[in-house]
Amino acid sequence: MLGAATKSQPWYLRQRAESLAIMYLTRRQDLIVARHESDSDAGLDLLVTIGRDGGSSGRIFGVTVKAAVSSHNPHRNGGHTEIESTNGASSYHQDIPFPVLLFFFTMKDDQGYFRWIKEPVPDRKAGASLLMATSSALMPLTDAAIESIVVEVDAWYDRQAQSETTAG
Amino acid sequence: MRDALGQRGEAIFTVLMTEFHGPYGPIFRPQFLGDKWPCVDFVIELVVEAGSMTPYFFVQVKTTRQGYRHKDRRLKVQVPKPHVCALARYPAPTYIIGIDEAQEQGYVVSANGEHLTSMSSLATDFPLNRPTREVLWSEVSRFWSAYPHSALTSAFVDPNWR
Repeated sequence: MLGAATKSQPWYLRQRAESLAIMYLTRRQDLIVARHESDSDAGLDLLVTIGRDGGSSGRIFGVTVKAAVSSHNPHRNGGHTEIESTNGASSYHQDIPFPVLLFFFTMKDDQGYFRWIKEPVPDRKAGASLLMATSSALMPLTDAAIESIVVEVDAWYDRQAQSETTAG
Repeated sequence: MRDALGQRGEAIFTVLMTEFHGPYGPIFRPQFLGDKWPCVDFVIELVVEAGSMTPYFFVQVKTTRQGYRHKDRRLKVQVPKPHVCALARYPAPTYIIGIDEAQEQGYVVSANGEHLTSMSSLATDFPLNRPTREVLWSEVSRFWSAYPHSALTSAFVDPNWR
């Protein structure tokens, strides 16, 4: 089984993967990325703020970064790559009140993949909600994918604001 | 908190310097020193065999969105004279790294005293690709190989080391 990087794995996996994640995200000048120190291998590694009007906003999402040297057995399924991860969603993620993603990098070819851990799901009836992801399918991490992520997260916060305005 | 451009440049530099050379992984181990260090941004160890002396060097990373000069394709980064001189004063090898953030490309030049004036642009003769990294690794390794490993006689020897 392909393992994901943990603190006991080669030093370069975590460092390089986090740097790759920051490099991908900061291709957009509206994303402010901060490293998040966590004791847990399943915790958040990055906190990403969506900028607004040239400055910061309160709209954040979290990223857990994992890596492996290579993907030995990717299962291509309709364009998705399924790579088993030793650390999926955890109780830590369940308590997080904002969207969270998994970024996964393979070091030998610097390919990036992602999936939601906690996905924003606008629910017109009950207000915006977050769903813990059940699928382990990974999708290629491209600039277009990051654009979609930002759009989804922004839309979720819009719904959050609308729900609070309605309830108030 | 360092600015976003600097953070991006440091991430790009780390990615470039930790590219794999063969199946054993990277040949450099970079460590960011933080915003408070005046002139040096990273200390970088050479990855060597276990038990061997560990050579290292320092770099200052300068990141730009302004691209290159048209006439000679030099990268538009600036380093003030005091920083150039401070880098040259380190007895360890020191280099200035220019990062083109748009192309996610980096370039290395020596800051070991060859020039002691401010820098208004940086040569792109030495891109941070595999051949350049191998030359850099060898250069730093050769430098430290001239140092006898036991050159220091310390006053702080623990007589009862356990």
